[in-house]
Amino acid sequence: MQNRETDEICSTLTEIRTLMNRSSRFLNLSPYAPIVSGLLALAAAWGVNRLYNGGWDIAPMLQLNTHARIQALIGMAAALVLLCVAATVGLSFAEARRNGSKIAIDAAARRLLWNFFLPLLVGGVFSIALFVGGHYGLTSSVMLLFYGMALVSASAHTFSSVRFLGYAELALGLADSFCQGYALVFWAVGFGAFNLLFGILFLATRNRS
Amino acid sequence: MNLQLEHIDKTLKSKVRLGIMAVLTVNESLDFKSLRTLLNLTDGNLVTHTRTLENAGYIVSSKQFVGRIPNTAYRATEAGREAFRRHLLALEQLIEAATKGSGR
Repeated sequence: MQNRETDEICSTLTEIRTLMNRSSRFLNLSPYAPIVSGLLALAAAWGVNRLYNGGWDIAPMLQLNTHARIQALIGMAAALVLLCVAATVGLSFAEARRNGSKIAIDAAARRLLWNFFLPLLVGGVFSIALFVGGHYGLTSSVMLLFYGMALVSASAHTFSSVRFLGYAELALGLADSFCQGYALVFWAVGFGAFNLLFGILFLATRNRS
Repeated sequence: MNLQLEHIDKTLKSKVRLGIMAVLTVNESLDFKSLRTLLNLTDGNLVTHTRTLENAGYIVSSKQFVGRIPNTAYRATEAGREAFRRHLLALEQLIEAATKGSGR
């Protein structure tokens, strides 16, 4: 009798906890989204290196000596962002179908979008300003730092493990700001390798539970 | 054990009302439709329970119009948050006492 009662209270408490989580966090984020984004970023870094550098230097300095090349690079970066966002949105819909829930732009989703894209947008515009002004050296660290901030601020509204990816990007961005000439390497590690690694870990832990 | 039972809130003994309080404590405010989908309730059911909570002073509602369609938003009051917190604490203590009593 006593046991049945406590079991019932326990199950109520568990239900309440999931309800609180589900109502305040967006949980249809797909682990394949960071994997795909990471692969796209690695491919982009490889492509840019081939186009503007050619060799396999350990410290690839991009030959950004013409106006057209700078514009092309900004264009490619914008296309990459759009591709990653499209992939994430598409994969989230698939994830929602898998979870048997519908994607609704509810309060939790809106908060996630706002808290992620506000820092990202500010950082993006700032990087373009740096780039156009000719301060190439700091662009990659600014991108990494703002991406890290966006992840940390978004992590309160989705899986909390996202914040660890944010911390990693912030540390890498700070390290990058002290090193000169390794911009593309840092960029590829942060946006490519880190996203990829996070996605794989995310996938592994999700399948275990 | 009777000691803790007095902290068990009668208003929150209903699972639905406990659920409403739970989602309202982690959200600034929620509208009728979101509450209904989250808790998987019918309109009438939700109205009854929110009214009980409003009468207890645990939540407040504000009616707004989106176009011509009324949209009621609910918010937990400070008293409601405190009651929810104490109720959960009492439930936890109940479990603790029970597990200790049965030697588990």
